[in-house]
Amino acid sequence: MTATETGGEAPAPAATAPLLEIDHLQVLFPVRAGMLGRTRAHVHAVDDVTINLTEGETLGLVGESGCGKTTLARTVLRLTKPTGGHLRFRGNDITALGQRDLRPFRAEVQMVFQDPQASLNPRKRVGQIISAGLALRGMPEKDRPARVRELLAQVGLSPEHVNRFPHEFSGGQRQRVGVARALAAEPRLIVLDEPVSALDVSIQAQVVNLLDDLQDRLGLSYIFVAHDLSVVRHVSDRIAVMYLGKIVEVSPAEALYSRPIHPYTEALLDSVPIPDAERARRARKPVQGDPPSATAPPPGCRFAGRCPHATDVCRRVEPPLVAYPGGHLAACHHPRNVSAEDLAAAVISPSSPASSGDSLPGSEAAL
Amino acid sequence: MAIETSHPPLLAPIGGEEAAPAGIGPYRLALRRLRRNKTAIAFGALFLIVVILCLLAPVYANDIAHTGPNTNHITEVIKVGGKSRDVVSPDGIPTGPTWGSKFFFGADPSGRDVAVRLLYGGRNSLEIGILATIITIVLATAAGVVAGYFRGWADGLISRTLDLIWAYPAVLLGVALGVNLALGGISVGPLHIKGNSNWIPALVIGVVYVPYIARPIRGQVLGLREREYIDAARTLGAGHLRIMASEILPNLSSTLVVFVALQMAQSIVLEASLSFLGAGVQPPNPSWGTMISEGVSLITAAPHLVLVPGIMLIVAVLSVNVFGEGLRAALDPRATIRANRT
Repeated sequence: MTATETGGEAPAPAATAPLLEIDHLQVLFPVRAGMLGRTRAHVHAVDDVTINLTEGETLGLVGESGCGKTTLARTVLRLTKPTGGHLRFRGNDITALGQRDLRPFRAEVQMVFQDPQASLNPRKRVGQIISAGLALRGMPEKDRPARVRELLAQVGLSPEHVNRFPHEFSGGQRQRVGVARALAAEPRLIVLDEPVSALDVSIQAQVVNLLDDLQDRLGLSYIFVAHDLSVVRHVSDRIAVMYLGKIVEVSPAEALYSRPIHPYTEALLDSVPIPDAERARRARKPVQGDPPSATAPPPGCRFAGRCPHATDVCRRVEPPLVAYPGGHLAACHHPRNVSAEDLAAAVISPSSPASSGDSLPGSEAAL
Repeated sequence: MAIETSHPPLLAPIGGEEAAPAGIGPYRLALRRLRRNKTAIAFGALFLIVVILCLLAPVYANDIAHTGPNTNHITEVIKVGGKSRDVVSPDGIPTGPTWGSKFFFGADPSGRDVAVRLLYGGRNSLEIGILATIITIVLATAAGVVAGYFRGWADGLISRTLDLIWAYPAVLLGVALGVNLALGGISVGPLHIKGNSNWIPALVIGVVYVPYIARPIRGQVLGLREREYIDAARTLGAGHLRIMASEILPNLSSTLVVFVALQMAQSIVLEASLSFLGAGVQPPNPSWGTMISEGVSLITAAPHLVLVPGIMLIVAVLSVNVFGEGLRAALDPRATIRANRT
């Protein structure tokens, strides 16, 4: 692969058809005000995002709170209706399907939620909770109890737990129930919305390892949403960094850590806690200030206001997503950690937002 | 790719403890808490006794008092402790309690047995109270869940309609509706309810209280619909009806159980008020309210006419109310259920 026109695709063989295509997806939330509830403005939660996911891949999705990563995850599940763009699952457009037509798709894509306490109905027994997915797959009622026990064992819980209520479990166990519920539908893709951020650190590793093992055994694809880079590093094949509704950088997991191109990614990496006090004291430049308002995002680069490298062009022209060699994409006029050869090989990716400029970094127009 | 950690074998149960096949559900926990609350249990039992006594009214009337609730004995003479006594004296004052099998609680100005009427009246009062409560809870739950779940115009329509009812004091609206409907009854298509039926006050009371229950339920549903398990149900393909019935409703059950008990007390009181004002149970049928109303003019000469049904009313309402508070404490230890009363 020459990393030229492939856009957000994985550095996998080009023959693999994408499982999920997110195509210039946009989600705006109206801001209503006044007696009549007229729409005064829109929150640009997800603004022209394009990225593909191949079968068996784990895509990490990171960004600070409010950057739109959870909205993007929810939109992939059609829990939130997109206001623009397209969603395709195995080539079928699911953007505008009604609830009934979505049912076949529902079984293919499942979600594990952030808060295992809130995501399990406190009035239902674990067996009932997990059976819902089996019902969706049309399994006859008499076969369900056995399968529920299998699933419980698969996520590392005792099959004896079927009749328990969620409040009788610890946080980590509850999250395992959440995983079992998702697995019951036999999905191909599971969207993990910060699946471990509500758990103790020791439990986090257990749940992450469980997810990893399940992926290996069942060939699942994951979209792993997280707000910090340390958790996703271990599980992701590819990582997308979001900032204020836009994707600013996509790259194979290791390259993002060794060679961040976007200044925002660099700053995010600098804000990962380092347990070594000596290394921690060295020059770190975590992000300063707050992100701008999502109701009236600034023109040009959305990170310009907080970026130490911003120049005039950043405030005027929105940078396109540029594809660098190695399947590494970044939207920045002043890319970091790129060599002259990289720049020479760079091309504008077709996943760029429609509103972005068409000048490559390093060219005359960008200076 | 795995994080370096002592990572348990996949198939081993986490958490260790075996067996305990049946989980301890929220209801079982609540029942345990309720059982520790001796006051609530005692008052619950008291209410149960009142209900059973009223249900046994025909037995008492036939086998002990040997008279009916509407049978006049105005000209009769009874023997009390060897002495003869008019059931109703020539100047119209009925006899007081005899503490015997006949006229245990005395007679009323028409020479009817107050004790028999008390029990038959209790049947009417409780029947209306229970029917009205069922009507209120069913309508209010439907309205509150639909309004809170769908929001938008459905919520606007339902909430404004409820505000319309809410804007009137409950008793005033009850009297207005009760008097009107008691005169002509209700005819809806082939269905006809007679003016003196218990269904009229039950319907009136049931409808009048709907907003008081629907509002807090709507509020709770507004919170419940944002829970992640609702999203989880949606990703599993559940439709609106399924989500409302199987995800939201079970989470309202504690609230509803508490409301049933507290609303029962409210309905019994309103029934008494309406009957007292002539807009509830229609004479000659007894109810605690009508009995008080009939006795008021003789309150100094024959205080038992007011005291007997009055005390019975207090006992019934107080016991169901205290029991309801106990239920609330047991089902909702963190006090999240909020009844909106005026």
